[in-house]
Amino acid sequence: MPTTIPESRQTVTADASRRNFRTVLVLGLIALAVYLGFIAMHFHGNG
Amino acid sequence: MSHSHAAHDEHHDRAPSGLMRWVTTTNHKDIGTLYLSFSLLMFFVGGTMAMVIRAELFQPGLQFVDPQFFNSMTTIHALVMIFGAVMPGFVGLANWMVPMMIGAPDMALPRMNNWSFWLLPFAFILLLSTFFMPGGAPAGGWTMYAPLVMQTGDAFPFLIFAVHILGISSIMGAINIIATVFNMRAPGMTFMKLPLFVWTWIITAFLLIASMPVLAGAVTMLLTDRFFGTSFFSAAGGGDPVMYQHIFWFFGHPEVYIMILPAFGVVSAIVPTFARKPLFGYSSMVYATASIAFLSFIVWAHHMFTVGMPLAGELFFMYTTVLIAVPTGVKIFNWVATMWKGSMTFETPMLFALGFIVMFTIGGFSGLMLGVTPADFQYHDTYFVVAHFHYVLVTGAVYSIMAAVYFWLPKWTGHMYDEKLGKLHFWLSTIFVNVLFFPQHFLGLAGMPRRIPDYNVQFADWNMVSSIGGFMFGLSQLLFVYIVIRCVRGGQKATAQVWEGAHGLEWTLPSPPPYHSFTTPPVVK
Repeated sequence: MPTTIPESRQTVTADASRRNFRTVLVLGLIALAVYLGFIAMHFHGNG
Repeated sequence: MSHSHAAHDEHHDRAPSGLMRWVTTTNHKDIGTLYLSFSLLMFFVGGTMAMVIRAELFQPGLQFVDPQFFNSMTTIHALVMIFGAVMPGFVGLANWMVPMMIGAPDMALPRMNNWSFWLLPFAFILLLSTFFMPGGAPAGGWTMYAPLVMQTGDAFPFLIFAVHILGISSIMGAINIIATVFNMRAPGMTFMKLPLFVWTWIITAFLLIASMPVLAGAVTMLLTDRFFGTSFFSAAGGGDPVMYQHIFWFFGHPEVYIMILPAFGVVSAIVPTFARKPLFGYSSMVYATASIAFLSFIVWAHHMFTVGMPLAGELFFMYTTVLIAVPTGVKIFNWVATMWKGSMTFETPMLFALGFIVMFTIGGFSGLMLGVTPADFQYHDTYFVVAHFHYVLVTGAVYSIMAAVYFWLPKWTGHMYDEKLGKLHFWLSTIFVNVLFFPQHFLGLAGMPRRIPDYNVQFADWNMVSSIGGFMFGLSQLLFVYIVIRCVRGGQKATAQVWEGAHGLEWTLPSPPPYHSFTTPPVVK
């Protein structure tokens, strides 16, 4: 399909955006896991 | 379809003017400028607090402020300088330079980039507003040790919330940098071709993602201890106050490297440029950076030898701490080897980079002294520690940010700064920063404790010298602001390459570079 976006920008917006989303998801989940993990690790009975 | 794409593209290329340009911007250069401007502002806010501290310590006895306010000054000075000046300074440099260095048009996640920045002013408004609250601003030290921090008045939840926001901002910034470098490199730009500044930032970003949630967890536990009846750190409820220190420093030591690894990247860009030689030992620099990052996670208890721990623990943390000298030594050696037989010139960025190498090494050596457990029992909580970390953070991190600003300012603005004034700024800063911090080694070795507004008369002379150095160093920084503003407003036109020995994709773009850095990806051979 014809498009006015330069080919270079297209690569960035289409392909890379999917990879970017995956990167954010994985790294964001790691950060969340570290946060909750550290709290859970130190929870003992009454907290 | 094509019409909507065209409209979409046009929308991206049209920059709103005035204030809204800065509020809504998703452009990496605009956001880099915002970060750097914010960092400079916070440098002066934190610097003003340092002046209050040094004024109070000019003579023994209580002079200007009451002890509670003095403690708030030391606490907030540290939080502002670490989270407001140094970290945003490096993020600003990364925003400006990483896309240009890897041949990308912008950061991978421009909207998240905007949000990362705009969280910062809100966090600092929260933090600084605590000065006007009942009970005053937090005064228990930037480390927020339990149970002392529980004595904070109404400011307590504001402190915790501000730290959470700062953490979220940092984590989003870090994710953005990793996504940008992993996904948006120009064709042919393999990992082992990346400029060292980019490498150090990738590693810093991973440190941020691994360590900032630990700080967030620690302060969340403080919050629930105070307001929700838990007792993570309360001995009365079966908790452990020392555990707070372990958790805090598990974040805190990687944090030290978050503030210094990008500085290594800056120096690794500047030294080869002004020595007109390629960086000596590129791959060893990458591996040394990664080694320092790894070691930073297994040294945390050297900050708390005096709380008491098993001998095996003391030995472990002492040896791992001293081990960091090896990869750091590799870096110092490589910079010196880069300069060896180079065609050296000494423009302002190079002066600051050389100042960094010499004075950061002084801070590194005093760090080694502190890392030796039996010696640390003597030095702990004295001015020797204050001297040590200010050599690392001021003549290390801050010097590298200033070196970077002088190095890249002509690229950013399209104008050369005033070289004579730049050199004057370097020499004034270097003389007075040493007058400020070097005597603090003597004070610490003589036994002067940290975080006190009054002291024994035996410490009077060196405190007066240190305070004079502090005021003069502070004044010298006004010259920096003048030089930067003058350069932004005009001056001799800068070429694309700016410096004769400069190499890399960022120097192939015109000065100043276009709004979108590389709309067509360059091919790297």
